[in-house]
Amino acid sequence: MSWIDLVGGEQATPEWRDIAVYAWLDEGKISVPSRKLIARARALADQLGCYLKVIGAEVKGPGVSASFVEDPLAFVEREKPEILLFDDTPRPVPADLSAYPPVVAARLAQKLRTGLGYAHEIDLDVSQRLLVMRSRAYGGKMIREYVCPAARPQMCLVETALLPDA
Amino acid sequence: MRHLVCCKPLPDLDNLSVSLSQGRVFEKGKRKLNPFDEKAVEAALRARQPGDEVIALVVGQEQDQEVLRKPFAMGADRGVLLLAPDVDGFVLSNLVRAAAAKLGCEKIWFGPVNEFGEPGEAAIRADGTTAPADLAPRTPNALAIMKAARKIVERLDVELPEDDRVPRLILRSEYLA
Repeated sequence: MSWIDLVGGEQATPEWRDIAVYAWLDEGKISVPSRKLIARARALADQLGCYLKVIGAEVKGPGVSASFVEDPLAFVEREKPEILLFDDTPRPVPADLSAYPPVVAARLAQKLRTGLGYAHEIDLDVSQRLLVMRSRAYGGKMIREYVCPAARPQMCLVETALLPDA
Repeated sequence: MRHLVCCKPLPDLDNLSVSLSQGRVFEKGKRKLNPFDEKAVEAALRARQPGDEVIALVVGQEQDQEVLRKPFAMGADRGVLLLAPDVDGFVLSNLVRAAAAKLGCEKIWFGPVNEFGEPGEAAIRADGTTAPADLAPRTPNALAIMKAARKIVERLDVELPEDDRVPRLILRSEYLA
């Protein structure tokens, strides 16, 4: 697909908007990390003034504009979310990796040719419409901020264990 | 069959100095091999059949060739250094894929987890195999270590479209906590 053209051009066009969260089910219910991430994404969406969509599980709650249960790649190509968040909870890796968020995120990021960040905290730079992904390095001494300025969607694995309880 | 093992150089955490005035952390020692990548080397060596070749790859700077001494000592046949500035996951996976194609490697091995403790992003992006996490890497004996110090590290250049080399994730700022 030639709609990603980074060399000499920016891909961050206004057709990419809204925040999307990849949610997963835990024994039939929305998992706790997904709920925390949806709450945090709702706060970010309020800052940006855009919708919040959920992909991967049916979520009907206040603050979630729409939820989709379909292939994430088809979802991204159609809905074009500006920001796509995944949760990165430390938990035993399941045998079936097809729905495991870090694996789904990496495959999607490679197909979309975008960057996948890892963050302990996420923030927004509203003036530049960037997701700021903050993580700690060197045993906690250093804080690093990563951004994905040109490629869309801006994808991030968020350490949901550090988010406040939803 | 040729196996390509991706080795990531990590800063030596015992040898860091923190400068408050400059707000930076300096790496004083040589960079070391990621201990999880030792498991990848071990997995490749165990999966090696007669006639197979195990090639250890490092993507980094000139001084990162020291990282290859351990895989050499453990039994890797060749060691390759791909000179590239610090890259993000997207560029790293493109470089690794191109290196595997150029070297004729059918299997790419990665360590079980990356430094954050998750199935590594580069492994999935490059369609590689991750080594099992409970593997105990072999400790090379002194003779192997001495021989490894004299082995030659090959340099590799890969041709990639310009777009594949542009890092998507950019470090915006770095400051002391």
